[in-house]
Amino acid sequence: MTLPRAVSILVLAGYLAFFVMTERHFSTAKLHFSAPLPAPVLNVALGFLRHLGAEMLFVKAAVFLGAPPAMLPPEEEYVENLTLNFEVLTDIYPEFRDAGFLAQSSLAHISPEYAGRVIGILDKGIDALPDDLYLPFFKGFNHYYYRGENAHAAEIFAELGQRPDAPSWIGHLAAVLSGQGGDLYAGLVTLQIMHAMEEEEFHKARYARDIDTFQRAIEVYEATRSFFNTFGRYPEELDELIPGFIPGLPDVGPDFELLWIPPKLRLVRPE
Amino acid sequence: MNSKLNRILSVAHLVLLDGLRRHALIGLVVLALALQCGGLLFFGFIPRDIGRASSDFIFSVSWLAGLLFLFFHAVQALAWGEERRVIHTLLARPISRAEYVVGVYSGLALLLLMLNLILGGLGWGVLGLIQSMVKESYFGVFSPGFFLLTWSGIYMVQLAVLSVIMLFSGLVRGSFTVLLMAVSYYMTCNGLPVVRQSLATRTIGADQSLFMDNVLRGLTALFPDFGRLDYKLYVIGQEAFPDPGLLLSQYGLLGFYIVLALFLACAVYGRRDLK
Repeated sequence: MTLPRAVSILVLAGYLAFFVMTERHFSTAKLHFSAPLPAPVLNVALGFLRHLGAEMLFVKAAVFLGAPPAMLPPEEEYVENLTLNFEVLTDIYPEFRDAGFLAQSSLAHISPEYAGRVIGILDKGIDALPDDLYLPFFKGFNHYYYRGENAHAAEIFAELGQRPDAPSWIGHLAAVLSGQGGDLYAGLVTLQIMHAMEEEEFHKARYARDIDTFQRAIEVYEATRSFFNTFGRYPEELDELIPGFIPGLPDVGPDFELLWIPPKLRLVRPE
Repeated sequence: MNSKLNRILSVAHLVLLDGLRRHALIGLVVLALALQCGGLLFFGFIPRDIGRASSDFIFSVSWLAGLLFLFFHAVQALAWGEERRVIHTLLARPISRAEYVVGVYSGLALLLLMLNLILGGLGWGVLGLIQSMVKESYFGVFSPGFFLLTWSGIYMVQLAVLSVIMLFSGLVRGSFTVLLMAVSYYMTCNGLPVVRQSLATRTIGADQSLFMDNVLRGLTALFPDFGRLDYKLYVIGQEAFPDPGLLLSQYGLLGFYIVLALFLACAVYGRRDLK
């Protein structure tokens, strides 16, 4: 065997050995999710191709999230970069709806802070696609479910419920959330609008029943205000209002119950 | 006038044939076709906005093919003219330098047009195929009018970049230098709108802001915002046709830009010492 041939076989063997070692390392290593470049840099670098670039960032996130759970690193190691990924891609391409859907399903549940950042991501889509129903629904849901901001959620759902293509339950949800947040008048107004616009008798009757419930709750709320004006403090229990301010606590039906956390009276769903 | 036009067309014909002989088109078409077929796989990664993503993919591939043509064929073709002394042979004939510039530009523009027509047809077919493969809610609208408008915008921008490459090729020697200048020019055109947007959202002193705004606006006259002719978002939307007056002004602006760049290129070639 000549020297050049022996050297070339050695080089090939060395290359294959390193190849096997590297492959073994990467096939067992945890996946890593890198941060994207800032949106202005990508805009300059990609120009006309920026929309495709944003979609590539989406595909990168979707493929990463779709990996077997055993290959994924702990959530705290990738969540910040994943959030940045969605923020950058929606900066570049706010019209791309799928980004909002994936951000909602992968980030909002992590913590109220991340739910807030998803709201920021969704806001860009909402501005770019004002006719879309899903993105504002997710936004309202995040305010309500992950951040406990019922009044804010109710505002969003009430606005959404007034769109002609919105299902009727969204407006009803807005009223319920207003009641839960202690904004009884907003809930009442939403229900009255929905009652006036509704054509189906079944739903109309349901709204009428809820309007009646809200009106009863408002009577109690007004009584707490009168109590405050008289004694300079709010009652600790609603029973203190009886009989001086109201003859008795009203029946708010099986669907709701009154929850008094001074100074707000809330209409909440029974546990 | 007719003989002038004939001379220009003859040069254009030569450039066209040269481009075809060098497989400038066929290579790009094969590459773009392979990538466009990749669009059939790409849309599998997109859960809902399939129409949007597929359309973006098709137009991006075609834009990329156009850029490759401009940076790697047009720049080279202009350099070959000098390096291989083709320009001397041509100018030894009764043809002015301005006619040479316009002729070469027309030939390359014709090659670009052929490339765009082929890729446009392929893109139309691939988009139609994807639309037929998915439910209407994922790819409901495919507007032929906006498809053609988007393609005309792409072609117009490519013509503008080509005219600037013609100018750079007259100003400096060596294809690599021209390539670097062309890439820098393209990046500046991409970056200027980003800088303008960034400054517009920043609160700085009114005088300072006005001054910077005017400087950047002036620079936009040199480095046009090509994104304004990007209509690909309309292709799958249901938006109304853009204001015809605005369209006319955008296309008119770029048209005059091309003519001005060619005038400058002719002037530069006219004074240039051909060694």
